[in-house]
Formats: sequence, C-alpha cells, structure tokens
Amino acid sequence: MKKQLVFFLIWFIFLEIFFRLPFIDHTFFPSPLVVFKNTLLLLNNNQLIFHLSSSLFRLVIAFIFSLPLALILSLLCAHFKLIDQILNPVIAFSFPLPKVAIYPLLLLLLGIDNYSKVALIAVGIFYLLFINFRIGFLRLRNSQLMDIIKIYPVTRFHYFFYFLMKGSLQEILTGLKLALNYGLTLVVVSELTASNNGIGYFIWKSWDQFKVIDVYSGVLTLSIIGFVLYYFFNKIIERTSRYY
Amino acid sequence: MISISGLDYHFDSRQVLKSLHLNVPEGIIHSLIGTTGAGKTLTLKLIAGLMPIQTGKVATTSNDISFVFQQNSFLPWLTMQENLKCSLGEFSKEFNQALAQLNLSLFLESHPKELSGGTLQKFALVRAFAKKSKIILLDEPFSHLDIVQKEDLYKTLILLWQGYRPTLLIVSHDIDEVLLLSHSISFLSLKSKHISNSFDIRPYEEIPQVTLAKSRQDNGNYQLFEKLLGLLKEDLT
Repeated sequence: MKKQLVFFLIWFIFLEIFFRLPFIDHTFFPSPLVVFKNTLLLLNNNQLIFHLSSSLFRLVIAFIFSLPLALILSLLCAHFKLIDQILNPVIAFSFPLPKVAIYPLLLLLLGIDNYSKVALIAVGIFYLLFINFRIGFLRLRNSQLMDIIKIYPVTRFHYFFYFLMKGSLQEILTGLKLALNYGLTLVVVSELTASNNGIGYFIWKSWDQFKVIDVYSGVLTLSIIGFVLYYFFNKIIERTSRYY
Repeated sequence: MISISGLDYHFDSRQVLKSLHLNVPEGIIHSLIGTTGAGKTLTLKLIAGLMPIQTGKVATTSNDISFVFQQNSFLPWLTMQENLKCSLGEFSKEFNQALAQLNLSLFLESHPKELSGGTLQKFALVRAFAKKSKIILLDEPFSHLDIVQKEDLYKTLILLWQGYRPTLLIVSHDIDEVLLLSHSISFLSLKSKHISNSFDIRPYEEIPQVTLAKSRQDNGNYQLFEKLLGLLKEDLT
C-alpha cells in the first residue's frame, strides 16, 4: 500500500511537470492539479454532486432489479438441469451482444426518461451477475463437498447461507465487481443521449459548451469511483479467500 | 447390517465391479481391502447412496448412514463449530463432553485449513458417531496420517465404536490397519472385480486392542499379513 502510494505520487508529479511544459496546449491538456482544483470547485457548488447522485441512483435501481433476478435464476439453473438447458441457449445468444446496441430500442419502448436508462444498465449487469453466480453454484453442487451435505443433511437456511452463499463467495464478489464496473460504463453511455442529468450528461454538456476542463473533471470523478469500488472489492476478495 | 448382492458398475465402457457380494453382520468392524482402483471407495459410495446403483442390490438395516471421507470432510470456509452445527444442529451435553475428552474443544473456532490432518479426521470421526447412525462407512480415513496420529485415531475410533457398537465398514489398503481394527476382512480383487477372499480375524464380541507395536508381535497376525500381502501382489501382476 505504501509503495503504491509512492508510485502514485511519482506519476502525479511527473504528469504535473509534463503538462505544464510550455509547448503543451493547456486548454486541451490541463495539468492534473488544475483538473483536481476544478473538480473540487464543481463539488463545492453541488453541480457534480447533483449529476453524480442521479447516475448512482440509476445504477442502484438497476441493481435492485438485476441482483435478485440473477440470484434466483442462477440458483434454479444450479439445481434443475432442465431450467439450465432451457436458459443456456438464450444466454449464450444474447450475452455476446453489446448491450449498448439495444439502447435505441429501449428508448423507443420505454421513452427517454429514467426507465430506458435503468433498463439498459439492468440488462447489461444481469449477465455478469448471473453468469458468475451460476458458475459458483454449479461448482459447489458438482464438488465433493456436496457429499457432506448429502450424508449430513442441513437445514434450508444453512444450505443457502452457509453452503451456497459462503461457498461461492468468490464468484459472487467477482460478479458484483464486474457488474459495478460495467454498470458504471452503461450509466455514462445511457446519459450521453436523451438526458438532462447524470455524470455522462455532464461530460457531454461540458464538451458541447467547450468547457474542456469540466470534461476532465467528470472523467476524474468517474475514475475515482471506479478505483474505490475496484479497491474495495479486491480487498474483500483477498480477505475472504483466506480459507478457501 | 449391510448386504450387497450382484453389484455391477460401469464407468462408461469400463467395468469396475462385477457381481459383487458382501455381507456385514450388525455391530462389527469389517474392513474392505484392495489395491488402488479396485473399486473400494466406489462400493462405499454405492452403499451410502452417493452414487446411483446400476445393477444389483444394496440392503442396509438402516437408511441412516454416516460417512467418514478420506479428505475434505468439512466446508473450508466455516469454522469447525459452524461445520459441526450445520451437520448436527445444536451441541448436546454428551457431544460437548466427547469433544472435551478428545481434546477437540480447543479447535472449535479454527478453520479446517488451520488444523492438522489428524485433528480433522478426529473431528470427522466424532461427527460420524454423534449422528448415532447404525452404519458408519469409512473411506481410507487414516491413509494420509503419520504413524503416531494413526495410533491415536485408532484408539479414538474404537472408543467411539464401543459407545453404541454401530456397524463399521472401513475401506483401506493398509494391511496392518485392517488387522488391528477389524473383526473380519474382505479382499476386493482388481482382477476379478468382486470380493475374492474373506477372513475372520477375531470373535465378533471382542473389542480390538489397538497397540501398533503389540500387533507386530502377534504370530497369527503375521501369517494373515503375509497372506493379504500375497493377494495384493498377485492382483497387481
């Protein structure tokens, strides 16, 4: 951690010096410190907070829909071969499709409000959640550990929480990590068109009004959120993988 | 009692068991010995219902069967206490006493990864007996332990068995071990794919005395040892 911080500082200083060199166009390539100051300013006058909260709101709502659905379907697939066989071709066919491609369709069907945006995010993250959960549950069900459960029957509560959930925690966390990351991408994409709030809209609007530095601030905000989530999940995965 | 008749088993086109017959009377310790790949573990799993029977019949006096696995007997992400509570429910007073008697209480908060193979197998034995199953199947439970741990576990096994004398079927490839622990032995032959020889070692009511050094001096045991070793060698040639 200490080492990482040192390298981060070295990079920061290097970029700061580089982007202050006289032959660099400072309008298009502001230095990190200038971007950082501008971001603080935007946070201070609540502009960024407003857009950020709209974006995160969409992400959370999408998770509220996708997470239980992915959990239920992956549980069904892991326990009933027939359901797995029925669902498999659908998933295999629709998973490789870039979800952004269906956005125009969603706009047409659900309107330009939040519905279409949330739907796009929900569809996109569903696959990552479902696929990872399913792999985790199936791995457990097919492992030798299942023999223990057969010989020493457990209660439903224990089976679900102590065996399935705890046992496939690594896959569950991986699914959540990937889904959050991809979800963030889809939030921004969905807000680039037909929107009047959200961090994606903020970046787009800033570009439109030629406020290049605001574009950088938007990007910085996103990368900080992405970094925090990534770091947070990796820490949990690291901590919980000790006993597996 | 365990009674198997005409048991066949195929892995795809390869036949592993061929009209296997086995009778284990109630309340004794019976061992199934054979070389690696003879189908010993498979036979246990078929009795326990962990694998589907293809042809033949397996009859047991009770459907309640405990199983002691060779390895990976516990969920690695739970502590020993959580593992045991999952399998057995809340601990009874008697169970707590058994844990204390075997010096296992200390390890209840540990995860399986943090414990030695011997301690884990001791936990596995205690769990199997705590379920009070009439039949307990043991799949090479001591095969990866050192000799001191082995002797300790043999004693634990006999101690627990004396408690209510369930029927034990132990799978092993260790001749010393089966001679020490069992009332009777069956030899599962790799070549003929069924039980080719059976031996009675001691009267069924006798409690096996498990002292490794002493068993080495026993002349009767020596002859049986040679005989079983001969069978194992013959099977592999």
